[in-house]
Amino acid sequence: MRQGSQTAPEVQIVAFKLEEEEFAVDIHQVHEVLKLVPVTPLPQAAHFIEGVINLRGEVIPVIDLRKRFELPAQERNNQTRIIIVEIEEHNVGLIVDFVTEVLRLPAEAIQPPPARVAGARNELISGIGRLEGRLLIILNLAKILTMHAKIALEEVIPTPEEHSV
Amino acid sequence: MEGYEDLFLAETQEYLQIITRCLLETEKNPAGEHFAEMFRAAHSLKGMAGTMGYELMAGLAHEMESLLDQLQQGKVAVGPDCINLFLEGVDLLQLLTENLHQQQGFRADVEALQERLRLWQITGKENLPANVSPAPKGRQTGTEGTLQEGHAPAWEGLLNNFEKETLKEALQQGKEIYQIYVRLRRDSFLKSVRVYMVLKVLEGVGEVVKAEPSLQALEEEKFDREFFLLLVGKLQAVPLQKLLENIAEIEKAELTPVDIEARPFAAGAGQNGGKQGKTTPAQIARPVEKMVRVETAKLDNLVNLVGELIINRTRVLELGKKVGDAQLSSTLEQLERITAELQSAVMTLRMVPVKQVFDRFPRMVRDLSLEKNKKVELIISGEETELDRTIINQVGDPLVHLLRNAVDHGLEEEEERKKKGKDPLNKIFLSAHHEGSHVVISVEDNGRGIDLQAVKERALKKNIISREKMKRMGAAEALQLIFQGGVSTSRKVTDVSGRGVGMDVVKTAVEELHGTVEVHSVPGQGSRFMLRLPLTLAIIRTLMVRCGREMYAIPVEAIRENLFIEPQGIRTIGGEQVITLRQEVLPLYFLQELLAQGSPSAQEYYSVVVVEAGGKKAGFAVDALLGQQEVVIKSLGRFVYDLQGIAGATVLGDGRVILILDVAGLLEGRRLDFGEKSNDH
Repeated sequence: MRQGSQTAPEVQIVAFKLEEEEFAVDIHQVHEVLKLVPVTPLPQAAHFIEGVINLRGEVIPVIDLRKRFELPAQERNNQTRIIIVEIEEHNVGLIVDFVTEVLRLPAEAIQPPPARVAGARNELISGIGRLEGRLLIILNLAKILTMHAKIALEEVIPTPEEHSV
Repeated sequence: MEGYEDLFLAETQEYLQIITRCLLETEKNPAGEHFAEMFRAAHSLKGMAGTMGYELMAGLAHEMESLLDQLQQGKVAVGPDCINLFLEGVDLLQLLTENLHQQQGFRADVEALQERLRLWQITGKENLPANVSPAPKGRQTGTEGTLQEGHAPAWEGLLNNFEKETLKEALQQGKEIYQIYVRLRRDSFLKSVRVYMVLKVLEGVGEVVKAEPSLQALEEEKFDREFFLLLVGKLQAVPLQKLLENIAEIEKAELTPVDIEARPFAAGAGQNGGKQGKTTPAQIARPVEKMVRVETAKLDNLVNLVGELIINRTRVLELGKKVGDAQLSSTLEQLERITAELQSAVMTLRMVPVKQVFDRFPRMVRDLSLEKNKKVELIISGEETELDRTIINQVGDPLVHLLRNAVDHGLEEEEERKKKGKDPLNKIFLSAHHEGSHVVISVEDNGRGIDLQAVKERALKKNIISREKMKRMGAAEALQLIFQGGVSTSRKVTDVSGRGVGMDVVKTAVEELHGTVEVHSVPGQGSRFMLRLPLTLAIIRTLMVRCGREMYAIPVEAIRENLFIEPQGIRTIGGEQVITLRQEVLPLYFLQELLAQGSPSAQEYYSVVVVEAGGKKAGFAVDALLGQQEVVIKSLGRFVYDLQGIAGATVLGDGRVILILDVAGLLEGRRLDFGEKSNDH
């Protein structure tokens, strides 16, 4: 409220890590961040669906983003978090290695996903944010969660040439 | 208005159903007194459509209403063509509701039909004795029973003692009496609204003592376009006439002071006044509104909250036991009783009579029977049986399938029936009744029954069974084949059914509702399909079992019995593990393996739950049986696809999420390779 209209438009994001890459989701999609809770496994579900948890009486599915991006499993530790996001009016949990921080980025620091040629998966990214040398890949969660096909990590990470564009 | 659209659609649907039902009943029995009900429905529909600004719908409903009025008064005779005309009207209204925002595209259709309805009103009248003056249109001025301008009612004769007393009192208080004459415009649509607005204006200046026609008749639009009111009040400073004429659609308003005691005013209209009560089309008493319409989302929310409450109650009770305080225990007992009552009260809110679904079938069967040229009588019973709203909403499609199937190839043509010496009339019985915690809906016909040989051949052709299997197959087993995709009960494919889609869809739909389908058929005598549905979907009774570290809930309706079995009781036949239960050989599955949750540990004996669903029976070996529990079913949320064998989840008192198994799905899924399925590519 106080900021008025003079301030440049900003985007708030929640940043988190998977392997060495830093990802982010729009804060408007994030309901809360939980420490790891027991997850009830779902037989026969897609392999990246870890299971379901009880979020204040609501049963919601939890997705292991490492598995979603075909990364090797990693020991869960006290930094592992479940980010509860709301997508298309439904809550979903995302298991991530750790949540780095909540960031404000000027809107101009966010670029649209780079156009790529063959095997393009740029629909999985809603933008790329840059902040003091960091590269934050802002995920298009709706797409990532509803797509049936496998997604390899490389498919959501821009190549070095694209970084420099 | 946006927010009211859903309500409007829901109510319109209801009124259209009422009209359809009444029409069909009238068709069967023209002497039946259904006009009043239809009239009321058409009238309400018109009012709503008018308020919402759907003038085409309002206009069409208006013509239907006018004709109904004529029918009701016996001025026009009812006949099959007339019924068809009304059904066309219903269809068109239906079309308009389905295309709420593109109604203008139907203008020509609506106008054509309106014209036909109007014509009917005139032609019908030609049958009447000559001395009755015709009223070509409902809206036309000056006919029998209606008042004409200047022919004011003989108030004196109309007033009862009480009203006279009121007038006398008013005069004593120095008030004056006025007669107010109001004439609406010829094209006025919502006459009752105009009446209401007039009364609203008058409310501010005095008291309406009497109306002619009566206020009730005015509200129900049982008047042409003119009416008189008797008002007491002090009007000197009020430009009443101006105020009234400012109301939209009012053509003329006239104010005349009257002296009620001195002179019986308005000569020449005596014969109108006294009889008015009788000549108004049957005074229809408006049923007192005992219902409240609630958005279903709100209801669902309430049910959910009660579900939460029950989960927490269970938890609190557990904690209470640990504490062991006497006062606390008795309070908790109270809490338990109240929540249980609350739960059942809330559940009844979701219950609606199956009539809501059944009502659309008479029309459908009638149309189908005309199309197929087979005489069919649909006999409905038990329509007051109540079911959970969600189930009601989803049971319609399977029933449509079954009824279409019945008409299309269950039933025979008249000649064929006569040849066989059967009653020439085809009959379909649609019924519903309670059976324990279930409702059974059955669709039965007295047609030719299911040709099992044809079914078997079809299944063979589609590679569903082998030739040897076909030979060995008994009648009951062969009958189950109709529920397989691709197997039709008919030899020929028609546009209605017989393409082999249908029965499998019926079965899937019913099983999704945690219900079962049974079929009985006697060649030459008919078939009977029975859908057994749970009363509610929100809460089910389950048996809790443990497998490894996980617990699962198995719906008790799928459980036949529980038993313990030693490892040597398990045999292997053709690579599959089986157990023998009273000479019956049953496949045995370790639930943990079935759910791909690792291998079971070796035990001295196994607990086996014998389950049956979808025509298959099997044993599930589990580590432990933990007892029965009522659970609230929750969906697994979006983004979780194709979980064959899982019906949903529930949250236990301690917050743990437990999966509820779908036994039919699990047994069905045995043919699939689960490993493949999880690699969703």
